[in-house]
Amino acid sequence: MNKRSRFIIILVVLAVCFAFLWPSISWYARTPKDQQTLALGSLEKIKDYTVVKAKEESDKLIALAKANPETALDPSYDYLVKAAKKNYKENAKAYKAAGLEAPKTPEVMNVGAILDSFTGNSALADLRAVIEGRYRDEILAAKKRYNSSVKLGLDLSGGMNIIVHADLDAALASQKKDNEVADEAQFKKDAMAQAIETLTGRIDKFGLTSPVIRQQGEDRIYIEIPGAADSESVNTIIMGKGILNFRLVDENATAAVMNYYRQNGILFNSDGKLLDPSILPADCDVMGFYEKDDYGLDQLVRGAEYIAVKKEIALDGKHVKSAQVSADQTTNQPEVNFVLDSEGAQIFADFTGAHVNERLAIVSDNKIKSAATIRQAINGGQVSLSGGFSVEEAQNIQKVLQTAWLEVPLEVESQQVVGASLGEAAIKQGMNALTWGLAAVLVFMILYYMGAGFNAVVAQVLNMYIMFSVLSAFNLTLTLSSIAGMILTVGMSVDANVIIFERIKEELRNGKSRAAAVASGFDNAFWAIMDSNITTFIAAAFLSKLGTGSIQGFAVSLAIGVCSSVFTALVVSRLMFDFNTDVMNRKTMSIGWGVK
Amino acid sequence: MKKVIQFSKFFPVAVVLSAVIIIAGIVSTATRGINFGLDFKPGMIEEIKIATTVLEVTYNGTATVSLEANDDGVQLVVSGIGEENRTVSIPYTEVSTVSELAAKINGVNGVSAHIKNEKALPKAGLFVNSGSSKNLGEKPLNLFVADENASVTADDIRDTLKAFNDVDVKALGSDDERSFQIRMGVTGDEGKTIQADANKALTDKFGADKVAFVKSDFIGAQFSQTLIRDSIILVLATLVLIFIYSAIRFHWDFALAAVIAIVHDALIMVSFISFIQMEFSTTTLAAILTIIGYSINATVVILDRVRSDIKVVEAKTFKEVLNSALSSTLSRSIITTLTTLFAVLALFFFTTGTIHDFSLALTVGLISGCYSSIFIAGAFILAVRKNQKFQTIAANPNVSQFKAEESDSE
Repeated sequence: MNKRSRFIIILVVLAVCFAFLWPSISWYARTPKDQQTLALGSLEKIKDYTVVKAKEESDKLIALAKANPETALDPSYDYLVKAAKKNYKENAKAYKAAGLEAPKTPEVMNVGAILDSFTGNSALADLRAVIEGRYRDEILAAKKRYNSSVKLGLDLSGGMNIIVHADLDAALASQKKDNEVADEAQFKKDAMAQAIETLTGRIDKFGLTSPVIRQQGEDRIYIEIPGAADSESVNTIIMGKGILNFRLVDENATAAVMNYYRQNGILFNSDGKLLDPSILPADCDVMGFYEKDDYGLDQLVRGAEYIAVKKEIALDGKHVKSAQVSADQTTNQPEVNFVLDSEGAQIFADFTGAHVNERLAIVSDNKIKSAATIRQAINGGQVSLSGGFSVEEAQNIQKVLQTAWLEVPLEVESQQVVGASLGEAAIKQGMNALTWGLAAVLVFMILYYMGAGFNAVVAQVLNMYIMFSVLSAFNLTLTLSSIAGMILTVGMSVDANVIIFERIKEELRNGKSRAAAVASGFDNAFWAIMDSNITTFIAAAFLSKLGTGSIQGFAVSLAIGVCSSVFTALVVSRLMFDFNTDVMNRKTMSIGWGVK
Repeated sequence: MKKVIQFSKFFPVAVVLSAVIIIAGIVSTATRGINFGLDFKPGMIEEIKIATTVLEVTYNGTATVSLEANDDGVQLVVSGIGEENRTVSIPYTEVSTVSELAAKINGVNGVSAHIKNEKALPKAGLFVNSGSSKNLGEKPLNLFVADENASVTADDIRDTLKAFNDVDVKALGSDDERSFQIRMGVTGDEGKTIQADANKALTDKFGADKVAFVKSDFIGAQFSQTLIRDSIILVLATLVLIFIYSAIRFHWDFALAAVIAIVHDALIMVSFISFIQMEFSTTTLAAILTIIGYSINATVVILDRVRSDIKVVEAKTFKEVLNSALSSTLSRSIITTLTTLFAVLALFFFTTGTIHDFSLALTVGLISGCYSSIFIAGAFILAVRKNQKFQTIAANPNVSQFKAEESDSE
């Protein structure tokens, strides 16, 4: 390969690395903290925020237009100008289609002109949708940046991690008491998936900053909550049993609540309490009505976000014995059928008899999953829910009903809480160690190898840069142990340079010229470098696959470092030697004391 | 040509020395045991500070307000519905007393700071409980300052917790930043409540507003068992993989020499850990695994040189080849160990806690790795190939000759 193509390869690698690194840079250095908090919040919170913002902004604009329609807008409203221009164009098309002359598009886009562009019955809603979209895009863009940047591990950011063990055997045993279990492995898998789903739901509701919940091994659940969290309440959430019950909907209270919500755009304060408790009768609770969105995440039902239900529980979920989804024989509509035990059947029969034509809500963990109208008294404990939902929704309701009879005992196996200030101290320590370690190594290389040492320095700096960007590219978590891995890699990866330099020195001592010494030095060192790094890589890669926590972070950065150091030593440093030989016409070599 | 150092002369001494250290290590491990850290032994570790609450901060409103206290000041991050998004920073340079700070915090809409103790703000600043959410709400968030005249000692805490089994209390840090590390072992089911019980005993004794929890770890019995099993499998599997790779690239006796050197280093490190009774945690395990990676690196470089020198060096015996290869890689061995030591020492001096121990273990491992790649691997391979003779002077090296000699030695 000639020098030019090698140079181009290096440039491409550097450019790709920069692209990987960019989201991390822009998230940590260019996104203000309040924006970060918003972006890290749940999608629900983001939606609430954008809706309220859109309402505020649109009210402000209308007030402004009323006072003086000629007011020019700040450049930050350019997105509205764009939307207005598009509106005018579409209006013109509509006029043309109807054979009328279109009104002229105003020359100057002032407040009045912008608001006028929104026409028809849905003018205000359209305007708000535009504003909402803009805020949402901004926050979601920040969220995306976060998702593709290097995360700080708990030991650096502070926070809490919990490993929960799900006792699947106990769940299986209790299930076998009542029902046949055809496929035990499948049952365990389902039970596990459900335990995770339940936990995710509960923790999400807590409104914590981007929690991580994932399955670890066969029967463990790993939960990580960055930033500090109230450990007591998190424990209660995890250990608390799933609560499923049936409650009667209070239509009047629901109407009042929804009215308040439409006017104000928000119901609760940051503690989850009603802002205005007077809108709700004392015997009611208000809860969100959720459906699954396309991504399987809980989302408030549009247009019927909140429902007020009676505090009194009509039927406890423990009476549900089984649930399944089927299709109605005549209409082919999906329906959910569930069976109650005899005690439950009696309670349900009495209750439904007394409340025909009222709505009954299925409440799971303080979320309403379904609200169906009671058509007639239901006797015998065979209940069928139908009408107005898709197969997916039916399946979701069935899953919710399952939680009542599928109880997986959970146990906290390990819990770790790191104070945020401790995390900050750890970052400081890690960075100090990294800086000084790197500096000591580099100074030594320059002192010992002089001119050639400079090549090693460049190679090392590029090495660090590549390591960080690979961490960023794979969204890996930066922990104190992975910083330790990097520091160690700095020390170890100098090795490749050392092997090469020592070889070159030998060749020079044997009387070879600069160019020949460099060539045979690199050739002779090649397999020593490859073999030694491949074995190290085997160890590191193996560790990163099997190890846990701190070992993993350490091993991953070591493995990355091994690869990038081979690249920088064999390609970058070689190119620098060759460049000096061929282009700068150097005849001698500065590679240490007493060697020419 | 460089001067050839007769390394092989020192092989017997080195083998005896290593054997003595390792046997002493085994004896020490057998008699004193290994100080297993929390990862491997079920229980909990908690770090607490006895301090004074100076402020209680609450929030009532629709936005999300979080409070962070660090070395430089207090930060309030306001975001969400009903408030302008902003970050309010209150550096300690702008406020000198608790009431001044409270006044600034109260300046944020909906946030109220209730003064519990009026004081001048200390240089070290304030800190919060790690076990409480930094998002403000109805439940007050306590801001603490460290007590200047720390009157509470480790004995007091030990005394408070004497109802529990297997309690170990250590005082950490200097007088003005005193914190206590509490370690409790658990057996069986009591683990679930031990943390809450211990915390209650502490808050009962010292007062709820006097105890700040800095950090806590809890590991259940089952988890630590799995970890021990996995770790052993991990180390063995790594060794096997390395052996296979080097056997393919070199020859079985070279590969075995490399593995012996690695095992030697691992044993030396375990001996060291047992000698000074360092806590053996997953991080320590990572250190051992690192040294495995490092030591194999060093050994392979030397073996590579031996392999190529067999073809080119004018020598009569394998011993001469080995000595020459060791001599020509010596400066590389020393320099690489030195540069790695620089990095590890930086870790040693700048960090605390587990990484500090990690770097100490690494330092020992590095020196051992450098030594074993020269002397232990060398001694083994010489013992195996002692009788390999070089009849002809290999002036014109070729690979087939090398291969033939290899099969002779078997």
